[in-house]
Amino acid sequence: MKADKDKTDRVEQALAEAYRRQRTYGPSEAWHKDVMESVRAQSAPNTVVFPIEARTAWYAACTAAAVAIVVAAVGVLVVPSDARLAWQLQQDGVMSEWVLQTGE
Amino acid sequence: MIDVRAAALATERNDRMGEDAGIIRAVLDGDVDAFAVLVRRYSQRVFEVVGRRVPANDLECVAQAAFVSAFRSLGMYEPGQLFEHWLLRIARRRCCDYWRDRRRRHELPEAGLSDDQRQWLERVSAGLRWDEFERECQREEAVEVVHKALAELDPENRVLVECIYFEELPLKEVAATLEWSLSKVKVRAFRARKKLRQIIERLLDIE
Repeated sequence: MKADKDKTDRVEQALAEAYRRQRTYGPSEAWHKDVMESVRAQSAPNTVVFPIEARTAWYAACTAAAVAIVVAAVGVLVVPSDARLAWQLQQDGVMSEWVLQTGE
Repeated sequence: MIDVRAAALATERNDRMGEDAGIIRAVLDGDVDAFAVLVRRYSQRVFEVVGRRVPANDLECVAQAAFVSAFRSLGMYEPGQLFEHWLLRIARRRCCDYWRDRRRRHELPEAGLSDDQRQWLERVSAGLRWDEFERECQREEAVEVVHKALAELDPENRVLVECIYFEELPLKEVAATLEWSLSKVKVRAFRARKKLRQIIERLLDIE
């Protein structure tokens, strides 16, 4: 087990060393020309206006969603359920008064 | 002595940053040809980074894509950072896109090892003296095995292994490259290394 781990460690180290020692070649004059041709074919670079606008829109959407969640939560807590409303009416005697008045 | 050297490096860095910022301003003001100065200045570095990551026949194409992406996003470059670092991040992302694209089209190198590659693995796994180890790491089979092992990782894990374990870049730089949080990079890097070790074990026929 230990021998296997050592083997794996050595290969891992060799792969890292081989990766670092890879030979790469440099750019040619023709490549530089090609790059500038491709660059000239592009429209103007994106300016910073779009990210700022997008960020503002995103923050506005997040704020609106957070406000909606808070309002909904407060609504659920404050507005009584049907059962609670019935119990409250009974407690206040409103229901009995209404029954007496209407004769039902 | 070290302080003098550090101060000289800092001055050089600031000068370069100021110079690059001037060129970028000129490009953003419509002088597209000024971008050629940046291409000439940093093309060698981009070739070094891209050349390690993609096959030689696709190197020029991916390096070009990196410069074109940099040009298109030039408005988002923040002058407080080194242009070189920003550009190399874009180059690493283009390499990741390259492997993602190849993986989608099922164009990955063959998984099996040749006899020479298998022998190379046996030699380095046996434990060598440093000079022998160095010589082995410069062999052609070494690079072939590296790329076969990396090809088995998904593109994000590949970037993590290359940047963190092979190139030893700071985690913050890797997080900026992948546009991930630092904690996500740490967690994913741990898993990526585990996967690489599993691949090595399989290549070594370790159960």
